[in-house]
Amino acid sequence: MKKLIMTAAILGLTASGAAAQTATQDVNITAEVPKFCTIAGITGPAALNSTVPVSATGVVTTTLISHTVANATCNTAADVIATSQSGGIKSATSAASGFTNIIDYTGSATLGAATSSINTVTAPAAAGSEAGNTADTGGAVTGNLTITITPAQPSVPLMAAADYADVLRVTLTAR
Amino acid sequence: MTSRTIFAALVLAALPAASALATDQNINLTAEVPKFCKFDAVPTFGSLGNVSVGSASTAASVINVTTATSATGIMNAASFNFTIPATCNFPSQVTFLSVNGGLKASSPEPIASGTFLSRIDYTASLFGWNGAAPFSLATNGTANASASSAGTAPHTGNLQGLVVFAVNNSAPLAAGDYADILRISLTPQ
Repeated sequence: MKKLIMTAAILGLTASGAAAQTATQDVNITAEVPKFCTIAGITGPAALNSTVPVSATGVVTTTLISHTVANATCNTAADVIATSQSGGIKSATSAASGFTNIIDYTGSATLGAATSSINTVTAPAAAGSEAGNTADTGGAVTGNLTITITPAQPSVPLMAAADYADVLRVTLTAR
Repeated sequence: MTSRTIFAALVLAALPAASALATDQNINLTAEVPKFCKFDAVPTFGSLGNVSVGSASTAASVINVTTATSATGIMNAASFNFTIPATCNFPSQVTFLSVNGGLKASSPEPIASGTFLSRIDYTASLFGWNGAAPFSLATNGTANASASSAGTAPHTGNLQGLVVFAVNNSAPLAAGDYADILRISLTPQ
């Protein structure tokens, strides 16, 4: 008899102590935003063109040439690198003794606080591409990409030719 | 002889009747059925717009945005709906809660200069549960923001909702892995 009462009491306590049961469903929503860099809002902007003035007597105008490209964006820290594809503004015409077929220049590319600088004279033979320093933007950045080119007067006369050319390539690479 | 008869009668009269020896034991049986709500089956996700279902269970599911942004970091549209079979044995309240207040990156990208978005907002809407008034939860960065509505009776059936991502093209999104937890609760009142 006492056992029955005790059992009933325990059951009663258990039943009255039950809390309301809430149902919960977690929906974990994820999205990956990939890293990217764009220049002028796109990934493959058209090339810009600049002509280095050279006088009739072979004097190079050494005035700074500047380009500003709006809306350069990297949504993560990125590397800025300026690279001369030819190592200078070079002619295919071979240089005769006492002449040169290269117009060297200094250049820079700046995005945010990151600047990559190049001086093509550091490789006088201009046998291939020359890259400037790798500059880290330190974070996501959007703004103007500023590119400067300052031609240098060669120490010897320039060979006559119409094909002096180089490509200064500015590369933004998301880290 | 007469005295013997009288004695026997007295003895019989003094004995209690056999029925007077019985006694009753009543056992009062009681039970309390607690209020409960439960999800009866794994949720189903439909109308998948630019999302995929990573996994689904009665406790937690995973929805992945397939292509969160364009090549230039501008947010893409995405949406999905969900149906969860559920039972509540008492009038219940359905609640949507956003743990992060939108999808946020666990390790936010530092911003060196310029403007970047760092959150993907969405609106979660209830459109079906036992007469509960439809409601929407629009995330805005506030952690643990919630919205709720009450059902009117015990119910078993489908809880249905819709999630639509808010396309904000005012700036590119900073790179990163974005996440939020949309917590769907049914609580008996």
